[in-house]
Amino acid sequence: MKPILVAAALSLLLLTGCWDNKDINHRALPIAMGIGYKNGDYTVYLDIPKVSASEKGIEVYSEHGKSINEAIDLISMNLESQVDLLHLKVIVVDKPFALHGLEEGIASIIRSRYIAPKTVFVICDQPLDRFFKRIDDSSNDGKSIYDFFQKDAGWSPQIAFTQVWKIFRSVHSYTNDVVLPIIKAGDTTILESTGSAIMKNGVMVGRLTNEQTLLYNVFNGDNLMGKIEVMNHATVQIVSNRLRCRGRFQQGKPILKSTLYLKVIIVDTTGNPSTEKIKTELKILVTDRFNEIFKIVRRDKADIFGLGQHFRDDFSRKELSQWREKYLPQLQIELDVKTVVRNTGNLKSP
Amino acid sequence: MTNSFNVTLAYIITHIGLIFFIYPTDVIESTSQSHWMPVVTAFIFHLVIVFTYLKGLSYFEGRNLVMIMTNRHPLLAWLTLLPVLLYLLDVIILMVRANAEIISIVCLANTPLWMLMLLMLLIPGYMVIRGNVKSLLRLALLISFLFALPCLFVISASFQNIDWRYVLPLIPRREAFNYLAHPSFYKSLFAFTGVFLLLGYFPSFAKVKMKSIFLGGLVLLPMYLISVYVPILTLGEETALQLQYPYIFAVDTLEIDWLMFDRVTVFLLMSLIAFGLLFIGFTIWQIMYTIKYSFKKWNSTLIVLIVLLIVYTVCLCIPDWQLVDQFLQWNTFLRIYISIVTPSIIFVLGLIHHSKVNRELNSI
Amino acid sequence: MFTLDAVKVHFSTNPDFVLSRIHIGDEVISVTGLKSLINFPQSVHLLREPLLALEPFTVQKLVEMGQELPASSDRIIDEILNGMLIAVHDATDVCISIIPVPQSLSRSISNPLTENNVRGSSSAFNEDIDTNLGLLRKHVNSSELQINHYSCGSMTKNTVTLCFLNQSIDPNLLHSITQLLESGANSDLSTLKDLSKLFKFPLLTLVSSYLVSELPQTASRALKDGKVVIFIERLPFAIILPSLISDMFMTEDDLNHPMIYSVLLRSLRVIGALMTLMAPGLYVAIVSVNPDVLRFELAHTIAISRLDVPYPAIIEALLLLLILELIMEAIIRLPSSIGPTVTMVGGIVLGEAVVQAKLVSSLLIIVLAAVTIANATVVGFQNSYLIRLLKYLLLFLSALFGVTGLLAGIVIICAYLSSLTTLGVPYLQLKQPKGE
Repeated sequence: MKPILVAAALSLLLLTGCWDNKDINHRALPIAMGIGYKNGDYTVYLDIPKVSASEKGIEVYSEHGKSINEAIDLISMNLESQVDLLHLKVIVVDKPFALHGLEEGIASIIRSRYIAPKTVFVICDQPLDRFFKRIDDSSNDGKSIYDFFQKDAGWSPQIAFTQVWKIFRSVHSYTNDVVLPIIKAGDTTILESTGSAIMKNGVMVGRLTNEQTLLYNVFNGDNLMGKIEVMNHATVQIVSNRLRCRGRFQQGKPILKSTLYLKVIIVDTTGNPSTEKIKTELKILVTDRFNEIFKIVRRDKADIFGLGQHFRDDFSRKELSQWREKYLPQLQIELDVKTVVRNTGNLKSP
Repeated sequence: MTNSFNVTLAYIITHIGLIFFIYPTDVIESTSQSHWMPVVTAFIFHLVIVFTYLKGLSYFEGRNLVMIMTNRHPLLAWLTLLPVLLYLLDVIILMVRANAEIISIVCLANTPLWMLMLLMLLIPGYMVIRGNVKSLLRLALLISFLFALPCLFVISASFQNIDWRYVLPLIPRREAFNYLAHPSFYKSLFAFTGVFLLLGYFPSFAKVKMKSIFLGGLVLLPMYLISVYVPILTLGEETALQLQYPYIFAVDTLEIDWLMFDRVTVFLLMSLIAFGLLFIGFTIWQIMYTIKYSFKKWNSTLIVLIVLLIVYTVCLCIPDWQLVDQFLQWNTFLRIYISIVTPSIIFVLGLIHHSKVNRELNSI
Repeated sequence: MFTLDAVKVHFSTNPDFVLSRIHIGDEVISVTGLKSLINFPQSVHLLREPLLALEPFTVQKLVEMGQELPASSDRIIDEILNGMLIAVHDATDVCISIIPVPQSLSRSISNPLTENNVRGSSSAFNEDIDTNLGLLRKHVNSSELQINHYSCGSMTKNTVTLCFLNQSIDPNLLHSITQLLESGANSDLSTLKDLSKLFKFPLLTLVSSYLVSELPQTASRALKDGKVVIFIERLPFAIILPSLISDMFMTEDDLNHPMIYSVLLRSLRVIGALMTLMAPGLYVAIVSVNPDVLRFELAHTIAISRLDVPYPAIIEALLLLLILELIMEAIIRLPSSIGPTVTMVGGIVLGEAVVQAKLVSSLLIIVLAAVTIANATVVGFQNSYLIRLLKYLLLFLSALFGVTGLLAGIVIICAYLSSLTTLGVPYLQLKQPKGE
């Protein structure tokens, strides 16, 4: 009992201190951060939704610095409230930064522990000042950029979805690379997706289009309700997808046998194609598109599918560390697509 | 007699309080592949010492470690109890410092460390001063009732981002036992040797059933594996190696849409800290009991206060994490000593005692 | 005759003292007693009728009607104070005490006032110790039921009754209780505080060591579980010893519901208690120390709702809590006809105005209203005091350490509860009180 009283008295005394605990309304909670890079100089933009009962909207602040943290500190200093990055949801970087390499930036984000590792990472296709100006001008409640990448809100399967921790993994892992979405300010909508960037060890080395990104997402096992067009004859919607892979070695060369199981719904047809025809067309389309991507992968030596994962058992760690450079260009993939047309919508199948 | 269920529960949750922070770091450091091997090796080692220890104790029905040792030759008693005391003191220092550090990293960046360490010490101190070991055992029950659910929830949710293929290769081709030569492996043993001594203090207060302790061990093995494998499966071995607290980071990557809370890490951390506080409480009690019944019969409150003061001073003197790591490295010798010598001594004494009793019985 | 004179002198200033003589044939019998305790005319009638009917009068017949007393004035005074009718045969000085027709000073058995139950029997204990014992006997019809009377106090005498079931009680517990009661023969025992003092319960404890209940069914369940029930004359409830943590969450009434519902009801009470303890602390922790725990949307909403609040969250919470405590206390004091007015003024007018004036955030009002409601789910009034108080500990710790402080508070409370023992019985048990 006495210790409780003592503790209560002590806490009352200490309440005067409270270690600069700032109440939530005295903290600025940025939702998106932009990082621009130019010759070793960082420009940081913070997109902070207005905390006000009457007016909605956002405020964008920017500052330069030798490091990301320095720039953030500068903003925090000049702002009437303290910047609290824990609720940051999206980090936008400009293309020069992505081409230069994100490794250091990612490392400092992970180290600083003020930014959650599940923050989404995005590359912006245009200069950041123009991008943020567009967002600032469009009268919205400031969360649009966050909703755009929310899986249960505005996200759609043509857009890559990669968090900070995945990039961090890609920087260090032998067999895993990532794809980052590329966006720019849209003409009619606020944001517009313009494909995605292939990141190898945190450096942007190539690009995928929106359609290719969709297939990438399918391949990576994200369950999505994406639409895909089939030649000129039909449009189908993928309702479930499953990928099965088996890696083996033949004459010192890695071979991956993959089977993609798709379940689709026919959404639209032109002419009167039979279900069989749609299936074969879908197969040709998917295989072609996959080969396209795979060509890029081999060229850039960036293992965005994590293909090396299937060979972990066949390599020693030393060999595995050479996976991207030595084995990935030799890899052969036999892709088989098996499709089930689950239903044909309200109309009977032709 | 408090029933053996409480004892087993205390055994499980104090271990869980030890596992998830530093242990995965050490295991991941100790080998680059097949991490289950160091885990299982250490676990078997743990089972063996626990078995030897409990078997030895079971020969002295209802007497605890201190009672057994104080009746022996003083040299033998010193050889057993002094290292135990030192080790326990060391364990508390490490636990307090590590817990304070991790709280400061995860949720209280602004609060000074001395305050957190004070909190980490005062609460266990209160537990011990206020009650006795039986109330600590009851506390174990109450705490696991309150915190087991969030803890298990987060642990099961932590499988969200894993990629099973990182498990491979399960059996390494060569250099399979290299970890045995790596100092980090011996550092990682602390998660196995921290609690077992406690079992030797119980017999005079509560029933310790060997069978239920081993069943509790079965619950612990998955915990050890999860703590190591979840970060590896989520991030890959190379990446996990970079991190200070891999499991906590792996939990930080979770996204649970329907929860009103953004960071489930905090729930896991809170449960683990609660278990850790209980562990510190038990350890302080062990020290208090040992001192009181083998060295000097001081007032137990006084002993606890002195212990707290010593630990707090040492904790304040540790300036950085580097030194904590060094500490962990240094006490490897002590750790191996108490985990091999103490159970062996008890076992041998137990055998001697047993045969003596048998002879007496036969002569009658 | 001279014994009665001494009695008469003793009571000479008491206006309710009556001494009258009745004549049966030639014999004279003096009848005396306190008319505030005894319905005199009826009692005298009751005494006279059989004696008149059974002529001739013998002393033997008089003695058979009551209990013969030694002719000492002290003893007679005691009996008179206990509410007995004393009859003295003038010729032989034989003195007897007779159970009279009492003045009705107790209310009749009525509904419980502080405890509600849904399905159990709804008769409650009242001030009369014999009524209470009767109720208990009705509920526990067993030859094992043992009832011991103790008369305590030196200045004022008070009867204390100890009831237990021989079969189920732990002999050690019984031994320590009887010994303590016997040792207290000279100390006054009329309030619960006196009882605590007698049993040497710690003075500053937060959890009461006994459970107080108005319901005979609760008392009978306690007896079957091996606890002890104590009645004190003029206290309209049973005192159940020792109290356990289950008393906070379980009522006898639950057992009248189907199993699933009773389990759900009990878990609801546990949730209620946890919520009361944690919600205000959680609010403060999240608002001022750890806003990162919340989802962004929620954090933003809370930030907006706290926009113009001029002081830190802890002060805000304390202010509103103080008002709530005042309302709760005021409602007990006020007559039930004015109570609702206070509720309305306090709850609606004040709450609405305080938000309008931007003195507290609207979320806090919601949190505290939920807490006040949840607080009432706990069984037993004194138990709700416990969590009402302990939530402040969590509140302060949360203001200091955020979520960690909340955790620290919970661990401290757990440590406190698990260290409690009553007469060697740990508090943290579910059903049967057992020794350590």
